[in-house]
Amino acid sequence: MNDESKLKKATFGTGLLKGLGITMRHMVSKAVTVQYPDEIAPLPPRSRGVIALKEENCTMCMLCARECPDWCIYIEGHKERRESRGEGKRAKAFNVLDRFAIDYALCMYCGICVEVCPYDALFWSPEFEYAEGDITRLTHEMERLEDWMRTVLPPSPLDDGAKGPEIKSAAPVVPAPAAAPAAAAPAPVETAPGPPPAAGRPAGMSEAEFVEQRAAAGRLVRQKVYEEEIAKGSEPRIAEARSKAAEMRARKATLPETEPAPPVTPAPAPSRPAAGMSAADAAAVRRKVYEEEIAKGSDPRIAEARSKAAELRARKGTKGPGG
Amino acid sequence: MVTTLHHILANSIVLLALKLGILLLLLPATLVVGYVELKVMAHMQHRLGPMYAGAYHGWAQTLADGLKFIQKEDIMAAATDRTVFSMVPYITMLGAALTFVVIPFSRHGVIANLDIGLFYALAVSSISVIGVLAAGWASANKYSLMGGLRAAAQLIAYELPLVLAAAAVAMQAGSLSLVSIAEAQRYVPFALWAQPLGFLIFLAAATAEVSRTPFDMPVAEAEIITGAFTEYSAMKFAFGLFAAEYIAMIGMSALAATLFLGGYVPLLPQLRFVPGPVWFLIKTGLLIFLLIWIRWTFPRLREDQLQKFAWKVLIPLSLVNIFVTGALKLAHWT
Amino acid sequence: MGTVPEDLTRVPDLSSTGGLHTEEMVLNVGPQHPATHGVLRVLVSVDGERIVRAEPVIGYMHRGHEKLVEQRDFRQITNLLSRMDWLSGINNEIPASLAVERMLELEVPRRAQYLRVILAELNRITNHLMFTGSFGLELGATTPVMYAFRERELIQEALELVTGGRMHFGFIRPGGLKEDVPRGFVELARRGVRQLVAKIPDYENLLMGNEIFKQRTVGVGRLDPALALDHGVSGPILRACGIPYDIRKVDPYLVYDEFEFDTPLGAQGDSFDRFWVLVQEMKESARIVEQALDGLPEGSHIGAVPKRLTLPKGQIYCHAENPLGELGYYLVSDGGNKPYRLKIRTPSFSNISVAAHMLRGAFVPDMIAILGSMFFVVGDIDR
Repeated sequence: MNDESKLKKATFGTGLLKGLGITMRHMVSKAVTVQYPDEIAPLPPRSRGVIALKEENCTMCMLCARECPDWCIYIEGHKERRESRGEGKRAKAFNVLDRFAIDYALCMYCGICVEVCPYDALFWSPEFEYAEGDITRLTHEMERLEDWMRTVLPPSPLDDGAKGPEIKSAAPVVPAPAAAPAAAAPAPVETAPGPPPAAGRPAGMSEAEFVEQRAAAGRLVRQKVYEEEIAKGSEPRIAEARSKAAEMRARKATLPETEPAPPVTPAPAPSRPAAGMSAADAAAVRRKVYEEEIAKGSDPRIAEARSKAAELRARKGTKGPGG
Repeated sequence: MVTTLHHILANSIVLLALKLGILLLLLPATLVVGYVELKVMAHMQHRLGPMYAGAYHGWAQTLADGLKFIQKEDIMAAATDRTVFSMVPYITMLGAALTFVVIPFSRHGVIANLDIGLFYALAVSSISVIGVLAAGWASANKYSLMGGLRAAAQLIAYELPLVLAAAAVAMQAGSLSLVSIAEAQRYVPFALWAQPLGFLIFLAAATAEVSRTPFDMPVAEAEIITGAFTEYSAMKFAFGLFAAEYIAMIGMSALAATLFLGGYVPLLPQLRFVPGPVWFLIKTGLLIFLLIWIRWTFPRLREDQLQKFAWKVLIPLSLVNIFVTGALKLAHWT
Repeated sequence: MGTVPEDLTRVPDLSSTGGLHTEEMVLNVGPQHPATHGVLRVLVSVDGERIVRAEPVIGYMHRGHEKLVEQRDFRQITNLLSRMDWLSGINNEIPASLAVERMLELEVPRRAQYLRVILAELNRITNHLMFTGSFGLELGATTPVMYAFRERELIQEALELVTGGRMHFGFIRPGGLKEDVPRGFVELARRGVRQLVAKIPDYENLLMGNEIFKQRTVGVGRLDPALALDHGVSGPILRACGIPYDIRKVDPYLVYDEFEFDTPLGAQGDSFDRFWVLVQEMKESARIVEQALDGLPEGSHIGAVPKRLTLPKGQIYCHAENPLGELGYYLVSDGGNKPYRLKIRTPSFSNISVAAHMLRGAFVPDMIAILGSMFFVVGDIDR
């Protein structure tokens, strides 16, 4: 009949011998073990290891904390008034983030916070070695969450058959590190069109509508830059990253304003030029850190991520992780 | 036992020290066999096994395990019969170790060359079961009780084929002394020509005696946790279960090597320059490897199936074996 | 101790004891026992090693999923449902999304449907591999589980590449998938199933061809098809009794009707048949994955889904073939964005309910063989 009844038939010991043959064959072949702390099998970029926070992108909109099924995200902050800058501008209020913490003892690693964040402030990192002996230390505060940004990997390119609508991928804002370090210099900015038409929130428009409209404008910018890049012959991934960066810059450039900005003011290349160094110096920092990391024997991807983080810190003028 | 003492006293102090050395080497030997088992098992399962303890391929893993057991807290439940409970490791260890008194490592390298060595070896190898049964009772645990009873039932089932298979060897060699039995196999081991069936029967029964898969029902962890040793911890666990099991396994392999593979006797006359103990260790090692190989390949039988197998297959076969051996002997003489 | 159903109190004929006076002993197997993998507790009364009565006691892992989901929207629910049967997260998520889609009459793109089938079948394979390995372990064979996990790792890698998770995927969304698959997934999945199919003869020879294994499983724990149907048993266990009930065939969802695959059926319904069906189903799943990968259409991974999912008032029952059997969600909506009530029908719960009947009269070692071949996940029983 079928091979089931064949298997059930009496075989008088030949089955035992076959089994011994199988184990012997395996004994003389090479083991498949990965000796974990010594060798680390690479994890894919989507791996949900730990959530990293890009603090400067956070606007304290509280979406992540509200959507979290476990309510394990703690956000605290206050409003500050900034003195008017220049003639005819009002002093304005903005949110200052005092505390952003994730309790990993509660977190169920669903990634909804990363998914809902409208400003690309949260990312998944494949890093997973942060077990603690003390449960309270599993609540990662802002510094620690920002530190994880070093380990965030660029998103994997999609399958060729994928034609779906873009949704937010867990990617750092800067171009993909597949490009040479120097490519981090914000080349596409010059080609970027001016900021979107409705930069400030007109009276009578709800906050949600405003956010939606601004997002739509950002998408326009992105599409434009993407097409330009493709026309220049860039690799689709690079084009993707650059267009995304352009979008972010466009969005952020309009963010703190309460009144419509003058029509054409391209976003300044480094988003906060005040404290940091020039782009060229920062690129040098990046190269240096990259070489150090490689010399230390780090994985090239990790080195890439760390050097990038160093460059960003240099440009921002902030101190290193934990500093 | 009197004969044993007599022999020991009759020998010189140096020889006595050497012979004591054999017993003292038993514990390190269990560590080595334990390590080999870990590694062989791992590679059969396509793994690497221990790689860290002792730096080179985890050679010190069993040593580290042993040291850890020593540091562990010795837990006894309130309802435990403490005296019996504590005696068990001694009984199981002793039963396993006493076999080595009569096993020849070389022509003269034997603690006591008893005339009834084979009889003695088979007799003392059953002592461990008393320990297992006692452990099952003293633990005041239902799983332990079942494990103890399984061990006792198993003893009855495998002991007969074991003795009958050995009896055929004694007939073949015409002696119960293990040295004479080994000498009788000079250059042609019994496993190859006179007693191949007896060899297989003895191996099956010996596997049951040392409670290893496919006959490890007394300690089947998926069914009755660790059988009689469920409640044991720390040193008592290490000695009562692990050390005793490995010593028993080495002992049964050594016995089988002597009975069927010629023990210290070289396999070929041309290889006489290789000393006897080396031959003995090679043959015993091969059998130990066979036991390990079987253990990590097969599932386990059920207790009643073992009984059926022993009474309906092994015992009739060993009786046939004895009959054929006797008939051949008779034909040879006449 | 809970109440024992009437017919379970009847003592089976034990004339084999030959008139010897014996006494029953109550043996408490679990909730912490090496062979119940999880916190299932079985109260057995044994006479020697023979089981007179057995009563599974469940509820040690009750987490209140049905209540929890009433407070959460559908994206959050996906991540919760993934945790019921932790061996087959994708398969848990699919019928929930199906229910929402059918209520809203959402169009799911073909690419998303194909990807769902691929992911579900890969997940089915990882689940089956787990039980293939652990069944050997329960019978005392320690090696098969290592081989099974070697193959499982490859497929697990493919799933991790796509979803970022290894057990709790949270990847199926109403209308499609969370994201499209990354480049390289197709090759990885293909390599995984091909290697699996190449290694299945090893499992068959190492376990099913082994005489000791046959001794332990053939004729052990026979399940009567009528009894199985009475208890709502489904999945490989029901098919091992010879009943061809496979929801992928009888009530095709997604695009299962476009693929060619067989439903392996057992003859006697004993432990051996259940194990055999499990191994054969891996081959069939591999066939489906290969076909779906070949025919994977281009397109979008998610349809047009409203930003805020609000279900119309009403109710729906949606079921799918989970690796362990029929998983059904009965969703009642009061018109909000959260379910008013979600009744979950899990396969393990119904399957384990026949265990009491099957265990009666068996030996203690057989109990392990029977429970091991009932393929249950305690999280799926208790939810």
